[in-house]
Amino acid sequence: MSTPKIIVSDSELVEPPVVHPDRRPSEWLMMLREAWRMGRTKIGVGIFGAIVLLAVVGPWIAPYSPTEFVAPPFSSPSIPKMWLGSDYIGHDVLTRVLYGGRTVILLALAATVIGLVLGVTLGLITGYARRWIDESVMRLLDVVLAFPQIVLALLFVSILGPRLWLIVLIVGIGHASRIARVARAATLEVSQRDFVRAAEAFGIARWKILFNEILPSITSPLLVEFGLRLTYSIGLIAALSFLGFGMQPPAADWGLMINENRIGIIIQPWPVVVPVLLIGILTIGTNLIADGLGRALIGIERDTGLG
Amino acid sequence: MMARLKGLPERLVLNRHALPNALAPALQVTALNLAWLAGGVVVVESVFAFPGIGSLLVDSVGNRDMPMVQAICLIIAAVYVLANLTADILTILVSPRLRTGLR
Repeated sequence: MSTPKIIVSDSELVEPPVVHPDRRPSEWLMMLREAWRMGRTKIGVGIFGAIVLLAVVGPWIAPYSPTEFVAPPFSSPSIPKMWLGSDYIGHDVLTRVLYGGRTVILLALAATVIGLVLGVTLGLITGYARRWIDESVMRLLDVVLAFPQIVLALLFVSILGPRLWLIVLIVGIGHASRIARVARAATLEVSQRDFVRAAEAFGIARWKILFNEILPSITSPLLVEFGLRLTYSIGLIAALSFLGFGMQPPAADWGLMINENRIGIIIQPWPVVVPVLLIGILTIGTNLIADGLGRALIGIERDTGLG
Repeated sequence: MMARLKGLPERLVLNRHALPNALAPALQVTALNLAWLAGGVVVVESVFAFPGIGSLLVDSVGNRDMPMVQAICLIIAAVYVLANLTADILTILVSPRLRTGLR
């Protein structure tokens, strides 16, 4: 008589996976993964990456110097070695397009980061502190909100002159008031949850609760907001350059190029058309990324039932 | 649905029951866009050299004409605030749920 075989295989003996709370991928990583699965996010990242690459590599592959006079003004692209012709005083258009992307992208990123840092800090504090701090800071931000961002920027430029840091700062502050509202709404909701209550009961310092407990749980809506604000930043910085309050004339900048070469658009459209297209495509790219992130966030909220 | 079950004509169902509820978000978006346009004119007017408040603002900034800049900014901000206020009031008047809350 043979002993009955034990037919339990290895796989059935494996104990159920224990989910360690610290091993669980955080919510915003989950959202990024979810967003990456969507075609629109991939296209957006592709477009954004391509233009950033163009702006970074551009200065090395540019055939001329951006301030070098190489041809008569408004020459058409028929001249050899000048694929896009020359601009209003005879610079090579291709070179200036390759050089001009850096300023737009860098300034827009800087403005958005300033807006994010300021806005998140204010939003966290007002959302958690409530009472008179909340009221007074939010009313102050409402004043900023009442101005369209471009008008706000023009107001400060008229006071202090067209400084680059000023424009970045003002665009950032304009964003901060809008981001603060998002951060505040998220903080209000999160600060009612049990883990925040627990931290409060332990007597942990309030600023530690803010940055260690609340901030990680509101990262997802902030990421979406960051993408959206980056789109607005690009448009705003380009518009301000176009109006002549951003980069100053000898510099190569897409917004500035549109303004400089506007008068010759009939005979030499390329120095206007190419920067316009590039700025447009860049905003489409960032918008697709923001859209993908937003949809992923909605999907995760629906699946997990978490805010 | 309730209105349909009462046997009201389709036109009345749409106008009396569907429209007031659907109008509220539309009004809000209209106000936001109107306000956004107030900022947009600044760029558009200087593109087409149209003599309006936007190109006046850009010119005054260029000339460091501070009182003019202040006045125009104030006007645009007022348009912004008024558009939103009007939309809020209209929303309350139009949507049945909020209207009853008034009393």
